[in-house]
Amino acid sequence: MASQRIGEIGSSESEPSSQHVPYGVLHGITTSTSSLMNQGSSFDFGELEEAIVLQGIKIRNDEGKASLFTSKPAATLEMFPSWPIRFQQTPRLGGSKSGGESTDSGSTELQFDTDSPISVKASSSDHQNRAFDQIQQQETATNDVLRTETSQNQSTAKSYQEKKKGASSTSEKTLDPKTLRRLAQNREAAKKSRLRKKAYVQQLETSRLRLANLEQDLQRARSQGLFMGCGGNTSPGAAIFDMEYARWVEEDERQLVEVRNGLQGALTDNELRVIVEGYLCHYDELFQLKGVAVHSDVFHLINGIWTSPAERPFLWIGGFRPSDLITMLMQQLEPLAEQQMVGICELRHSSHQAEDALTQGHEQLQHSIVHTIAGGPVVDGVQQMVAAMAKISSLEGFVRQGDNLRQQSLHQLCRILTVRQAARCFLIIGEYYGRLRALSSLWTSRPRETLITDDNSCQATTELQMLQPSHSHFSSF
Amino acid sequence: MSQEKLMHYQVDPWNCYMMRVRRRRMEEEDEMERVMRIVSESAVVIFSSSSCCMCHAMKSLFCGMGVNTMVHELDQDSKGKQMEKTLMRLLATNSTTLPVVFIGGKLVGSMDTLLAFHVNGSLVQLLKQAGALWL
Repeated sequence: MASQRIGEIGSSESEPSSQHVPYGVLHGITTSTSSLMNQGSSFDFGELEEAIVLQGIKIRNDEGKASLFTSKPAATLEMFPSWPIRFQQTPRLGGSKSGGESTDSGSTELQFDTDSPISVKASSSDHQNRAFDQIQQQETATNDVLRTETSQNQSTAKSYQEKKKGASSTSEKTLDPKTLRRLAQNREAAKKSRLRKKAYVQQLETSRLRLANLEQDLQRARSQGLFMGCGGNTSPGAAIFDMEYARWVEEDERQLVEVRNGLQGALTDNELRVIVEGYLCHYDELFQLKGVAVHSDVFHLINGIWTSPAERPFLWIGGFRPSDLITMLMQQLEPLAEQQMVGICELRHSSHQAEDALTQGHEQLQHSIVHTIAGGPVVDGVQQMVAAMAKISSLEGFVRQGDNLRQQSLHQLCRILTVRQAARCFLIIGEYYGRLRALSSLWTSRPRETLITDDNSCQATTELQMLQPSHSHFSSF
Repeated sequence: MSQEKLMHYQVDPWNCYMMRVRRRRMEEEDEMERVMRIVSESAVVIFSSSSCCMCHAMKSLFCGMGVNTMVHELDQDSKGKQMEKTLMRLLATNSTTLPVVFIGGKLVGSMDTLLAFHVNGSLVQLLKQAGALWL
């Protein structure tokens, strides 16, 4: 098998110029891979060892190859020198390698380990390229073996090199016409190899750039995509809002701790006022975020996916209902001075009226949208869609007014109450939402028991469980 | 003679332009006067559009407070477009701003201003002053 392969290489060697690199690198490593697949199963390490030995010899004799590169790539290329004749063909044109014997043999070992992907282009003729490709393919799988073998063979290679060097130098000078021809062919082949290498390197560079870009895109998409996965059709505006909201919640927790410490500690009113103002600004930031999000994706705000599950039933036009919040605060804040009580009741009342008005307008808008989408007796597609889009922008207006009402209510609350009471308000609100979020995560991670048992005395409380007994009842019919 | 003609020809485009500007100014003043006339007729005047849902919300708000308002549907007015432009100029904004409310002949603004006034308690004051709300 091994000899057969060498025979193949030999036959192609006899027509060097006509047969260009069937396994040329530019045609893809795949072709060489496929060729390897045909032969590869029977790849022989004994042959490889022989090749390595001869490789060492080749280095000595092929240093004249017009290689632009360092000794490293060329050395690797001369993997399968198959004829003794080849040693005679190539005179030493350059002294570039003459002094580097030890480094050459030393670099031989290095070749296998590091350079093969790059050192494809080198100054040799076709069969060597082909041979190198074979090696390149095998190399990634057999690196370790190569290392051990080359280290073993280095010493033998050196001795071989010394012997053959002497033999070749005398024979080269006597074969001038043939030598010239071979030299010319080698130059051509070297040139082609250089061009191929250049093209390959360029390909690698562009692929590298593309990879870097792809990685950047992937990172960006992944940071947004974390929030896109479960939602399905989440828009970038929604993803951005979700990210910002998560950051706001973290900041909220931090501010909450600050308020709690401020209330428990003996802070002066002025210091507490600073904290309260800070918290108010914090809420203003939230409304600003929502203002941006309304413009980019109003449906996302309305459907409340950005809130925790337990908050969603209480959502009113994309946020909390001010009067409900105020009612809760009133219960917690007692005792309140008369004036403050009146002020808060008035606030609750006016907020309630505003909520009713907005709710009515919102409902009318919903009816109107339904009517538009349903269409009249004659359905005009484009017109319908244009009208529906206009209604959606009205929806944005409602969410904006809802947020406006929420913001105004909070500000008014801070005006009515004392600093300490206002701080307590923020503490209460923060803890309330913290508990809602905790409830949500608890509910999300509750153990779900979905078993189909005949045992009706099962203690589980999920709906599915409760349905099972009735189902089994009817199955007997 | 030819000199005069030449000068006349050179000056005339500017005159045309100035006449256009003047005419538009007069129209705008007319519109403004019209608006001012309308808002002085009633304590609370809402400029609205019959198809606008936010306008419906504003009407509901006043209704819920027990305030009688005079509603001017601009989409049913022949000069509605110009009046809307006048209102936009008054509010110093480029986007459509309906509904717009005037209380006691004075401009209050759009829905968000109204809500802000309502929440901080000043709306009731304004209405009482304008005589639209008793008690």
